[in-house]
Amino acid sequence: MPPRLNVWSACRALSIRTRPVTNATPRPRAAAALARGLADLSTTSHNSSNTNFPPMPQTTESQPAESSSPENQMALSQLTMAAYGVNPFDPAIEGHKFGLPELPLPSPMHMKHRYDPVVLQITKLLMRDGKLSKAQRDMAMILNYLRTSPPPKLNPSRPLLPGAPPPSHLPFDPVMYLTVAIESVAPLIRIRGYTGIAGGGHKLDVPAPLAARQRRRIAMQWILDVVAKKNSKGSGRGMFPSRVAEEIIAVVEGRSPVWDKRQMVHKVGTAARANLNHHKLIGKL
Amino acid sequence: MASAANTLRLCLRNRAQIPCIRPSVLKSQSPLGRRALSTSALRLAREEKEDTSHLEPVFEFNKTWNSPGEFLKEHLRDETISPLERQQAAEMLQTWEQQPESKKREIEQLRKDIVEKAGPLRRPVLIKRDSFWNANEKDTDYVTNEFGEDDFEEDDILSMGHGKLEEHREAREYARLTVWEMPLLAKFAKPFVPPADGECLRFRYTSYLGEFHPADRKVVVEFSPPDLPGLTRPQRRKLKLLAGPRYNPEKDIIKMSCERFEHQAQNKRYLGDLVAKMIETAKDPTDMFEDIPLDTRHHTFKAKPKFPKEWLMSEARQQEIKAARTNAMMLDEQRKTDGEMVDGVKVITGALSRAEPVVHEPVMASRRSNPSRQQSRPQMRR
Amino acid sequence: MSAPNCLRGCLVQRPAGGAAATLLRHSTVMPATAAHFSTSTPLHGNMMKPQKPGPKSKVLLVAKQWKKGKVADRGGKSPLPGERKAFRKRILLSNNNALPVEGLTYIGPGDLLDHKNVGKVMSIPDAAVDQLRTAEVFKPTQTWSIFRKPSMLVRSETVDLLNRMHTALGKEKALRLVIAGDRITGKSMLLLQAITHAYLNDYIVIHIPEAQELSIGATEYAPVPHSDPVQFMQPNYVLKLIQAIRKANEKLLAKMTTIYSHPDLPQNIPVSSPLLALANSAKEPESAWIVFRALFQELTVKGHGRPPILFSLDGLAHIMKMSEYRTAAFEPIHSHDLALVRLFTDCLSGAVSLPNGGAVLAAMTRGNAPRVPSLDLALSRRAAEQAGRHKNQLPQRPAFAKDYDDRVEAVLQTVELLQLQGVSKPEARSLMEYWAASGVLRSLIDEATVSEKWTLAGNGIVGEMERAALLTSRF
Repeated sequence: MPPRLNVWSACRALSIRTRPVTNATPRPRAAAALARGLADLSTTSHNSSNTNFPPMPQTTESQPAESSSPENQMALSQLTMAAYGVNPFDPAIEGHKFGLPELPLPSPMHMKHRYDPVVLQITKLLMRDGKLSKAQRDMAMILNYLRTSPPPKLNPSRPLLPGAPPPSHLPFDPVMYLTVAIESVAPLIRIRGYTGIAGGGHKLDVPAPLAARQRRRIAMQWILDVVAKKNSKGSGRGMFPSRVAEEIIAVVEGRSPVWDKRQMVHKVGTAARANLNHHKLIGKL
Repeated sequence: MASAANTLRLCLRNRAQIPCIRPSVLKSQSPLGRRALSTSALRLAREEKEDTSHLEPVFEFNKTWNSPGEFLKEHLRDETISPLERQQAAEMLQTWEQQPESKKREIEQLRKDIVEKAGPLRRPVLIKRDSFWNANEKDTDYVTNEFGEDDFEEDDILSMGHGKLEEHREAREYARLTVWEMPLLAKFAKPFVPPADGECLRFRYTSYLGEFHPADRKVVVEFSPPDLPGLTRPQRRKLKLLAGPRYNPEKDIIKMSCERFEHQAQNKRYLGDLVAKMIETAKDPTDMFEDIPLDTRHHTFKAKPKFPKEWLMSEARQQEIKAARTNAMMLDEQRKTDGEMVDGVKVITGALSRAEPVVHEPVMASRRSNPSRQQSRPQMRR
Repeated sequence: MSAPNCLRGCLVQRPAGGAAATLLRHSTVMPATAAHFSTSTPLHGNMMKPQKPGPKSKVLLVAKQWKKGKVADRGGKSPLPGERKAFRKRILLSNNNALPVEGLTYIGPGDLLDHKNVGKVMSIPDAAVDQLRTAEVFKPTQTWSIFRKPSMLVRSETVDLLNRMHTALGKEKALRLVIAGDRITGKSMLLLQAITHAYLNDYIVIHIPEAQELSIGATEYAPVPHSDPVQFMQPNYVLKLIQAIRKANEKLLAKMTTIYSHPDLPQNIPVSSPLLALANSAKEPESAWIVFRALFQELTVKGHGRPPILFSLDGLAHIMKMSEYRTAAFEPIHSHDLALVRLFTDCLSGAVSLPNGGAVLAAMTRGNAPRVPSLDLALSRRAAEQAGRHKNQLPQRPAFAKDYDDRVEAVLQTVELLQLQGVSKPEARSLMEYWAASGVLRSLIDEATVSEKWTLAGNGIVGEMERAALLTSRF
């Protein structure tokens, strides 16, 4: 999934990921050109830095190729280009009519990544009876509501996600507004109950971490639960989205009861963290 | 797989060839006999009568059978018989008396044998009235007299095999036809002659290749009003009006059919007469129905969408597209150089930076105690 | 399920089933006369008859509840009648979050006549905004609530229409015109632009915002006394209309004075008293129609410093059919027998002339419009005439077709037709630049973006462009 250009992608980019270290030294380009000329075409790779080529000179000696073969001609021309300081492996030069696209593809260009991932997931969660089109219209109305509502007044006791933009910026980016609300109120853990371990018919509460999508889903479900209990002010098809949007604003402003739910889950999880070391769960988690 | 029991049954089968008459057969054979073909079922009334007196003829028969002399004598003693009968009976008695004793004994022996053998068969079978579901009751709806015809006697191939054979025979028959007779049809081939100017009626017949079919008498005629000679424009219009829903405005054809009569020729004659009558009426100038519009509601005009010619890619169109693209690029470049290009993201960031020129540094969580700072930067937290 | 479980289940459920059976026996669920075996559903002859208000049987009540499902009890007070609709229909004209656009100018009196302004986005002056709001010209489906202040794109059709209005004014004639077009091509918006121009140029504007309010039987009606053939007035609606006219055109009305004495008015209005007083005299619905007639009579006097009139209506198809109203004999009333509608159609057909010039504009609507074959035919005939077709080659009424209406065709015999289509690409670009400058559209506005939205919107249909760019969750 191509990353969006926002704060989250920046955060993600900051994280350190371990990668297997490639010990192979980069192959000189000229040798690669020669190798290409003589080796089987299907085994050649443009990306010479990642592949470990076997030593070639012996094969060159044992099987002298005719210098007039097309492969050799190409290799020679590549050598010439290298001599002139042009990269012969530039894909733009190597015979693509329209060049290669820049990877990763920008988000709106890819059919499956047309929407922001959070928007996509929340839209699907808004959907009832498989009516995706209606859910999408609702989503658009929610975002428009967020865009036209005044900047939220934050509640210091309900801090948003670290690194969130200031509230005055939020109405200009409704997708960010929605993302901040959902991610801020999403629980970090859930409580799994193991029956038959604690004894006495009680279940053993064990906290379990959640993935990002799971967290968003739970947060949105809590929000929708609150929305279902609200009265709409008017009538018509715009009322459900406006109630959802009001609740999202309430979340950002710290007024929503969803925060209490989150706090409750975290409290239980903190209290039950000792259960992770239960002797019957060792090796099971 | 033939089981042992089955093998045994097959071995024993030839031995048990004594023809046995089933009891139900005997029971159903009424003394009157049955008509060879009858569509009416046997009636119940006769059976009821049988209940009261069905044993009487049996006794009579027994008596005749056991001693013909006795019977004839007794018959002659009867006062009610006619003289002719009396004479015949007397002759028969005389013949019987004249027979030698050995012959009489022989007959006696034969009689005994027959009685012995057929005795159990002639015993009347009584229906069990209170049987379960009246199982032995006679089925009066059952008309045929053929009993046991579906029993497989294991001396033939199965019916499916017969069917397969029949298929082969049929295929061979047609193969023979194809090879021997169809080439002869070439003699009847006629060249196609397009209809002449006067032949404006097109008839359609239906044939089911000699088989009887209720639809093979149907004849359909089609003609186009402009083809009819000697009709003026208003007359043609009147003809269409007369045809009503039989007129197809898209093809300009009138189509009529007839299957009212028993034979094809009659139907065709009727159609021909009808067309002639229509033309005659159309030519009648007394009322030309000029005030009545032609009704085409019975016909649905279907529009077939076609690919528009303007959309086909041509050299000129390619040039046009290319020019438009170049133009668009030039326009963008012009705007860029003039600084008139509007970028939504830049506009927003510019406006926000103007609104909040001070860039805050990240604030540690421990310093969040000051509520006035909270309002400005509540979201940075470590 | 194992056999003992089966048995246990049967035994446990037995008493409950028995109770249900006894309840069922008391109810009328199965008529006693039903056949033992039948493939047809039993008729509910006795059951479905309206029952007398009394204690219903217990089982029926239970069944009803079960069928409808539980209604969530949300608590709180329930809204008053009409409150929810008012909330739905409310009109927000500004968004404080949207950025103010630099270089946005207010529309002047002559700006919409100037061909130089085609493809520009211009703001409506605040005074005109108030007037438009009073006349209910803004609609809740339009996207006013996204932007800082009400602004609109000047299209070539706008300038064309207003120039025709202007030339008609010079000839002291009324422009009689129907605005037609596909869905969300901006028909109501064009009407709004014409009304804005009228307010800025001191026209008297009489605007009927939703024609369907007149014909769907939602407002009260009464026969007009002494009318033959009988016409029907809609007193409450007309009273509301007079108040809107009075409020929106207050300055103009105050300047003019009456020249007729109107003896049948409920309040004595002497000659040469201001027209505002005449308009103010409509206090009760009963007298509303008389006051409206008097006001219209005064306004359509030739000379005497009377201003031009713009009489406009949105949703033409709704007044071109039989209305939902009935006469005392329960005959359906044709919409043209409603007095206010008749006045409009007379003006549209030219039977009633506006001697001081002006315009009679009718906008079609495609969203919720009834199918009126005569209207379609008449408009297609006008379109063919404007395309220069010969009189004999105009579209004809199908010979045996039903549902055609001579009165409708008579009204539209001589009107002009403006067929609205999508905007051109430069206009689309200008509009999208306005969106981006308002901080609503987060993208670079270059030819590629404009072309993409323009093509997605069916060659620049404005409403579809808004849907593709503003009312979407894709940013």
